[in-house]
Amino acid sequence: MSDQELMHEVASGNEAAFGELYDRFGKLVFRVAWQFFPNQSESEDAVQEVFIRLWRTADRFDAERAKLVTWVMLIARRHMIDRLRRKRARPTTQDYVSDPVGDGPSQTEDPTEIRAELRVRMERLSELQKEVVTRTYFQGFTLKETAEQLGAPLGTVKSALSRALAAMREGPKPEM
Amino acid sequence: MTESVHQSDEPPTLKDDLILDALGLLDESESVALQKALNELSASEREETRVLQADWATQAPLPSVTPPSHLRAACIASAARAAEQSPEHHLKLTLNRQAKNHHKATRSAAVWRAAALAMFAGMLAMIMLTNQSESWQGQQARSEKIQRNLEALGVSPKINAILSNRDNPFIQFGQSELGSGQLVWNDSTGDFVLFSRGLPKEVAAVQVRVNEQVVYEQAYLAKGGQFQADAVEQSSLRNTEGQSVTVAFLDQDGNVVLTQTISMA
Repeated sequence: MSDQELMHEVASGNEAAFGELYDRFGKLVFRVAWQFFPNQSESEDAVQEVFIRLWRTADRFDAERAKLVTWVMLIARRHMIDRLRRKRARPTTQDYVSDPVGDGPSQTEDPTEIRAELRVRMERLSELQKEVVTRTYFQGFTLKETAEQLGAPLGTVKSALSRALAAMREGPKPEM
Repeated sequence: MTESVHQSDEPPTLKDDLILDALGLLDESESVALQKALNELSASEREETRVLQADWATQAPLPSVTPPSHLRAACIASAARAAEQSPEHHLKLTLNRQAKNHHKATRSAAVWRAAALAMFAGMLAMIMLTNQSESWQGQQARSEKIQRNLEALGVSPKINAILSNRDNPFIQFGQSELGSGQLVWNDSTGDFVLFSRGLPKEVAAVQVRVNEQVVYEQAYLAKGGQFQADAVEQSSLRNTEGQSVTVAFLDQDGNVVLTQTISMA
């Protein structure tokens, strides 16, 4: 089933299609959720909300404009940022790389290894890049907000962020 | 550190924008502007951008965690609940669920009694079935089905999450001869969770009333005359000050068997 066909079926209320949507992207969305809310209960709630949002916006998906994984990532991250702002709490990078609260999800890697990997990736960045990644990628500030906070031009923030993420991606490949 | 790290003062390129857009990092207005720019590209160039963005979305730097197995069923159940609660979407998602919620504020007695009678008939049928000798495989299949249904309701994670927070207020039913139950709510999520065990066999349904208005009803499923499974459901009720919340367990005729009320000062 193509991306467009799948989302058409999801939009029409096909439970099997909804299940397939989860099978394709459930893990990705959970990882995005965990990035923002590193505890099991909140991550699970956030994932459920994202999939409801995906279902409600399914009829707006246009395969001509983006592949479905890009659409899912966009919806997921925007939802996490909305949720984060509703909570009026912004986790720090330290929170992000700290031990999960509660019993945690079943993880394919030891949490300490996850921490170490993220620390290593962050350490590779310049100070500006660390600041930009922390504020935008982990804490949910917009690019404009980050530019204002740092007193830097918006273009500088954008290029710093893009290239920092590229550098972080060059580490050990995260699993999909 | 890579070479590109030192080049962050360079102005952003189209590729930078594509990467940020793929990761949901562009503001909505910027995303729209980017889309307009992409419309100027040829078909093959557009496909290249789609592939690039998909690659970034797939390989984004994210924690290496794996979702729990029950989350799939919980997502489907959440969507079903959202469908039931959303007038504009209520016909769009039709999922088979063993227990159906009814969030209408009011419901006629006739409709309620009909539903209760139907459930009672179902209970009798289940009791008869249970009394018949059944193979081990049959018992296994039934047990697995119950487990699936519980998972579909998102039981375990929600209960665990709420019970782990000692600050959550709840209504507790403690009468041993009548069974036990709790209505728990979580202020941070606005969710209610109701669960019970060992209720008397005449209990056929449960109601939740807020300020004496019925906001939630659910029929109970029985096996062998015993309510052996925790019956759990969430609703979008919110606990607010000055609110009186009542939980009532009803028999098949709609008579209250067990009730408990708590008022939030």
